[in-house]
Amino acid sequence: MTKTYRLTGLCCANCAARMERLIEKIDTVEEVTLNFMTTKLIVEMDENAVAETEDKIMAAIAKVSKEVVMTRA
Amino acid sequence: MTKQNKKDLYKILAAAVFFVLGWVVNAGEAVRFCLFFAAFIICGLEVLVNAVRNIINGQVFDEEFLMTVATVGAFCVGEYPEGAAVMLFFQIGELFQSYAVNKSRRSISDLMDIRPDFANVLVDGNTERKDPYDVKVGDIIVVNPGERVPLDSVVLTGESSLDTSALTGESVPRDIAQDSEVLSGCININGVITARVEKEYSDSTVNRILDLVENASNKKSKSEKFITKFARVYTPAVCIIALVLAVVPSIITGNWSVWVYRALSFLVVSCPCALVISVPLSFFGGLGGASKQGVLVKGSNYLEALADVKTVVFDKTGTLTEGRFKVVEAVSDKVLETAALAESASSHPIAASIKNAVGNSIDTARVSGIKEQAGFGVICTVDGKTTLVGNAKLMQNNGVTGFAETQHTGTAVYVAQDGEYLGHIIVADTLKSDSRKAIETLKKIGITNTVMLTGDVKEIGEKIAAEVGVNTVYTDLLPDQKVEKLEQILAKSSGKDKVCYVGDGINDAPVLARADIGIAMGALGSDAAIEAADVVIMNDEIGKIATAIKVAQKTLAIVKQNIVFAIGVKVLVLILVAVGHASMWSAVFADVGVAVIAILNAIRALNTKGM
Repeated sequence: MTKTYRLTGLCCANCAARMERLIEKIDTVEEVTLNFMTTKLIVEMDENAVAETEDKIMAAIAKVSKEVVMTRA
Repeated sequence: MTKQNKKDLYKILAAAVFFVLGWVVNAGEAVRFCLFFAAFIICGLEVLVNAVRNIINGQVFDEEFLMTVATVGAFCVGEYPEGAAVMLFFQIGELFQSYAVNKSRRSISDLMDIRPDFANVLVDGNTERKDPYDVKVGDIIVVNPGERVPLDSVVLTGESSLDTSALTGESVPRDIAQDSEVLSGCININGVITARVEKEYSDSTVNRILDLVENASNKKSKSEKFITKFARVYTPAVCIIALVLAVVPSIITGNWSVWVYRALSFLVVSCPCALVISVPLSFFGGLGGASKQGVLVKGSNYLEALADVKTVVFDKTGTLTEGRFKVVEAVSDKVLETAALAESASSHPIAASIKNAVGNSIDTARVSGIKEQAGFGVICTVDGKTTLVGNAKLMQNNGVTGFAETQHTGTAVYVAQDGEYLGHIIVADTLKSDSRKAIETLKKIGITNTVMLTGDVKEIGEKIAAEVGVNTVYTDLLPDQKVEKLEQILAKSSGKDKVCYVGDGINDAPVLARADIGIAMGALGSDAAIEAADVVIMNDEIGKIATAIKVAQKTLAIVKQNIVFAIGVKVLVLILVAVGHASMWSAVFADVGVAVIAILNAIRALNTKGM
């Protein structure tokens, strides 16, 4: 299933690219697009592990930047 | 400016004061150190803290880490001004970057500020203000002058003009009256109208367009992918070279401070930010600029492909031509009037065009005994005279005297009364008024090959092709043969040259899909067309094809300039630093200066005025 999130406070393009790579590595994530300009994160994930995947995504984002807040869009 | 931006600005200003004092004050080494160190800490503390935290998290090679090593290192080798300056300029660069990104994000959302906030719904004779999401199909809404049409609907009462510019880029208002379709997102200019809602908000035009524009930059271009990959390799590579530079020559020469200083300057240049930000920013600007012109490009990848278009293939009917029959020639008004009277009961497109040509003044009482002969025409009585209106066979079969076939291209309608030939009318599909100019413009911007596909017969197809000025025309094509023809054209086009196909998106979805880029014309209000195409032109203006290509060419030029400029300057400065011809100052320019210039250049993509 595809889920969309908004990343508030995302202001560095290289950070966005690094977040995208980290999220890509999560095994329940099938496909990820992080759009730096619209600050939207679109993740195609295993629908049986949504909560778990979301936690992992948030951890990945926090690893790169503490200022970015992820909310459901 | 956001709150965070303002806070950063104050920090930078405060740091700058100490920095300038450090230069100006003529005091001992200790005082100078303190002033520069104060400047450094004021603007750099956050960076230092983040860098330490990232290292604990196992994240090295990010820009904060690099800046920390470079500046702390500069202080250690006794280059206080450089250490403070690098941090100061780094922060100025960051501030500018954040400001520019926010500004262009905002300008796009302003541009797409077509979301209606409310709908006036008529409930028991009173209007109620509702969220457009809560309005159902069949509800009656009232749209006052100055308000945005909230949902796609059909006018019940009232007359007005609509400003459709937000959707189409078209500045001429559209007149509406009873039974007109009104699309959400347009602004009602002068009259109050009531209308019946036809589509829920989520299916309404305005919502579909917003979705499309918002998601366009999700589809990343090749240049974006390249630059992210490049950044991934570039930073670690420069860092490793810096390490080697700090150690190896130092051991050989024993001159540690010189080589460590050069290595630190390397670190300053190793940040890939300018590149990584300027490419998506340019595409974002280009996509936004195009939608301002009523051209919706569904992805950065399509914008990139559009810039390489060398062949444009057009469908004829409805794209280059109006798609409607029109009387192009009538030997006399009497002939036209007689034909209109005879055809008054017919709904055939040719009959409709003849009736349109005389206007509304048809007095049907003058006609009687209408008999339609399928495949020939109409026989009837007009003003008491037996009248024949139809093709050549009808005239010949009835032995009309003085009849001669005309050689004009188009469909000929002949008129005879009481056995005597009166004359002919030529009915044809006419070119759109701007088609010829549009093809000329395309040729001017480097589209070497223009092709027209049509299901029409050879002579009509070729006449239209010559009139409009396309290079090649293929006639007598059935719908599936259009796909075949396009495939042949695709096979002939070499390497990175792209082929785009322009159609109305209704009958030619397979051809649209097969082309490198499918462009649908006049798509406003047609869901199928918006779905099938890669690029959607909201109104009927064929000239917008050239606009789309021009915007794409400009955007890609900016992207290339930025990539070449940023990589070029960085590599140049790296070489100069390595051989000792450049200081850390030029390294700061290579980092922050390049970022600022690249961002300013990227923002140009948003400006599509007059394209």
